Amino acid sequence: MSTRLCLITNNSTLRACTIGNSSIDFSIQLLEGSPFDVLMGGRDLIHQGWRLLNHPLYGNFRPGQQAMRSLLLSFDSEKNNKATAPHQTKAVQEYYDEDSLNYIEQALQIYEPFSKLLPTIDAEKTLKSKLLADCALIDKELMHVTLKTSGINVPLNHMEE
Amino acid sequence: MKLELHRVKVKKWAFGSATGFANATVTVNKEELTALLLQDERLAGIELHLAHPGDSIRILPVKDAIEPRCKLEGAGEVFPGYIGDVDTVGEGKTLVLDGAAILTTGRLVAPQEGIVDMKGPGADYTPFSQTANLVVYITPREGVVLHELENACRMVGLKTAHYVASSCKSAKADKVDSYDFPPLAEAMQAHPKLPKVAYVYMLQSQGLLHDTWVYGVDAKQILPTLISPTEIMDGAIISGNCVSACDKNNTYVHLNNPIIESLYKRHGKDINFVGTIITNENVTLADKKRSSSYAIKLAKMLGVEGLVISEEGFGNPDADLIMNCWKAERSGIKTVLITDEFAGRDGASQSLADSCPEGNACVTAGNANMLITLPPMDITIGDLPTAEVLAGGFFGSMNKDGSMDVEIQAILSATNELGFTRNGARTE
Amino acid sequence: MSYRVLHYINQFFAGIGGEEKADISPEIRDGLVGPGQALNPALNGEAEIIKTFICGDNYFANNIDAVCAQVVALVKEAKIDALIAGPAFNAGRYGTACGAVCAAVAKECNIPVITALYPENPGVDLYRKLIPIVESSDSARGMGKAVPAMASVILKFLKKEELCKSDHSCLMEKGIRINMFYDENGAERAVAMLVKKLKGEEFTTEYKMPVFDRVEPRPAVKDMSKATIAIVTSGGIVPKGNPDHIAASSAQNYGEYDFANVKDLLQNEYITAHGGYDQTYANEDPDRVLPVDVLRDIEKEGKIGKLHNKFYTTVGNGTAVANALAFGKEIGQKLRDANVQAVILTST
Repeated sequence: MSTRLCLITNNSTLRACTIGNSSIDFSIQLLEGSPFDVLMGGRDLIHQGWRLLNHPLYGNFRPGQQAMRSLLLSFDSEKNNKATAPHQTKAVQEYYDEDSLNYIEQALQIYEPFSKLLPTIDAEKTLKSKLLADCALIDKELMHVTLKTSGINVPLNHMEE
Repeated sequence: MKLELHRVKVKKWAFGSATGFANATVTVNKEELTALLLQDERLAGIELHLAHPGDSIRILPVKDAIEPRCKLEGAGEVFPGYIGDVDTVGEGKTLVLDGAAILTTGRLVAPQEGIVDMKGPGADYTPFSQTANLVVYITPREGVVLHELENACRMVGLKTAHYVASSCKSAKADKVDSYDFPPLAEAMQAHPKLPKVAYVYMLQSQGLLHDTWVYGVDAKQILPTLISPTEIMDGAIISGNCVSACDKNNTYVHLNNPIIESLYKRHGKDINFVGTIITNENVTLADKKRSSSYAIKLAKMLGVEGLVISEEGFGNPDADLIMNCWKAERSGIKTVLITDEFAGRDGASQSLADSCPEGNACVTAGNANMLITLPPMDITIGDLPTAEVLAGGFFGSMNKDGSMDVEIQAILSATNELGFTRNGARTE
Repeated sequence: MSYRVLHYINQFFAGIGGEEKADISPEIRDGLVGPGQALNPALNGEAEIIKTFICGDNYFANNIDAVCAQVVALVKEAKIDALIAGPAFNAGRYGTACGAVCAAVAKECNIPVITALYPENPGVDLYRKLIPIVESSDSARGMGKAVPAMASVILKFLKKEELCKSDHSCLMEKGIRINMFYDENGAERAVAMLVKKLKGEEFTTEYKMPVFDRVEPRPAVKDMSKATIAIVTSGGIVPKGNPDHIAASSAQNYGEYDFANVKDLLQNEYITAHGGYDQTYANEDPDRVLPVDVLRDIEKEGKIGKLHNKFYTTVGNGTAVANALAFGKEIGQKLRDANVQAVILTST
């Protein structure tokens, strides 16, 4: 049985992530939005039975200090007999992961006051701005272990290419 | 394991022809040190500056603070895995240049901070306004990737600290402190009437610019393990954590971990201090579960009744702190947590991202969002935040008169979660 | 010259009447009314109540912004130096009103304000971060204690003096975190706290973690097609006319209504009694809050066994936790007695 993974992110440098082995069913939702939008997207997936693999908060940045956010989620088919694709939002799930929901709701509470202030990211802007490029690089680095241990190859830093 | 810290009191740095110690002053040969550091091909330039308490100097962004130390006797060398080999340290005699610090500075990424003011209101919030500082300003060679650059900067601090201390070996110690960490069999038998207590030492391990190394090993790759306090005093734990200046544990505070100091002070009187457990703060939820369970399992194996648990950073590490807390309490081990708070500029928001009813004993190092105005200083060492960062209000804002309005999050060790300072908070 | 004080009270303390007069619109009187008689002497002649602003509790709940604006206008016009509201003790709507006018005046006029409330008064949680609140007992029997405390605090604010220890002890915590330097470093404090905790001695945490009232989820209903499902709301949906007079805020009761023959909650047959949200959409189609229409559909389709023939409703707007708990227990028991397997709770 294949593992289903979904990366939801506003960090375009993660677009080039690839699967490490063919048994992984991997999709990327690249949002043009703020970190808050990424968390909201993650919350929707959790309600559809997806489980968070990384914690939704950063370890040293507050919402106003990082323009990027990425979440990796997995879909456990055994617990979810009615499998849904990440883009299907209407399906009603019988199972959801309680820890994931707790963490995402806690994170949303922390991001909420910043939600209107957070920059919306588009790829073009990211390339032009040193600040956004650094944010993207750090976000990618902080996602590295989560992606790697789930069998996803992470693209090299643009400076290293 | 027995370690003597030979403390030589330092009040001043000076530049001169030969590096060495006399009259509470460390003299540094600029050219010699610069040449030593520039052997690293990843670096383009090194500038050395001095900053003493009361000087009108602002240093930013400080990457790491390191106390000059070197071995006088005993196996290995300080900072194992970097300066010393990877063999075990923590025994014999170690020279400490007490009152001196090396501060490394230079901008790695745009969102980065770490202010040290040597005078004025900001000085009250950083312990490094009270130390005599040798500031090393680093310019990297172009094209060096961030991983390499972070490593190069880290090495500059460690090499400088070791070089300076090694050049002062002949100095006579003002004070010798001895620390003993007996074999477990002995420790368990000692002080049978006192409760056994251990320390759970959480290390930031999120990824690049948020990492900690133990004997050269990336802390995100360890399972929680036991370490002797004397190993920590010899630099077994090194900081690579560059973000969130207020509550990153720089190498200086690791070397001088005040929790270990306080546990030693009470050892044999109120408690029997039997162990230090290092654990990590990883990004994945699976790692968080595994590490917290494993760390608390070690505490149970030690048979302790109480734990002090210190956090590093904020945000997702709050989840690790809370897991450590309830897993210990539900196994019958009493806990005290040390954290800091992000309660908003008005202090009205929720302080932590996570909580549990078992966390009924917390020490706080204060609200990092408190706003402070830092008046202009005569001299700035380092790099001001980029205009883009300032415009974004990421860490505060610059005023026309040169003063800065910043949250104390930007100040080095302002809300240190090892309880290094007297800062705290109350509810009003 | 003494400071000029405005006093805000409700219809009950003005002696106009109780619940039946709660709809009266604002009235401004010169001088002292009701508790002002006790407050004024406590101000020691250093300050004096010049005017009293009286408003019915329900009127206030339905016109919060407008009444606050009136109070602000009066403060400016009558050159008022300070506002005293209440004490409102455990009266929910009155307490919320006191908090709201104090907050508005503090913000718009930047003058000292004070009120006094019982800790469980819903006004406390709503306004504690914005304004100083003296802790009072739950009823007017505590007037004698609340009045001098309020007077002492407001006089200090007016004279720009530091509050004394006894002032601090009668003021409720705002719940705001303030940085301070302790005598010892954090590590020493932590180890000292652990020693006390191990000895079983009393210790004071420096940060109280929030404690959430978590409800353990119940096991899933095995077969919904055979289950009787009930519907309960805190959104205030009631038959037109609100026969049980459920208050727009700080509800004192709940309603139980038979709707066995109702397929759809129609406009003009059902309305909301809730004063805490824009009622337009709920009144246009009450199913939006209490979804009877869709529940009837799935009942017909056989997805649920049966919709219980009674619904329960109250208003969750500023309702005291103690009241809500009591309503919940009673409703729960009734549903259990009626062999209901599961309940859908809707809020707003």
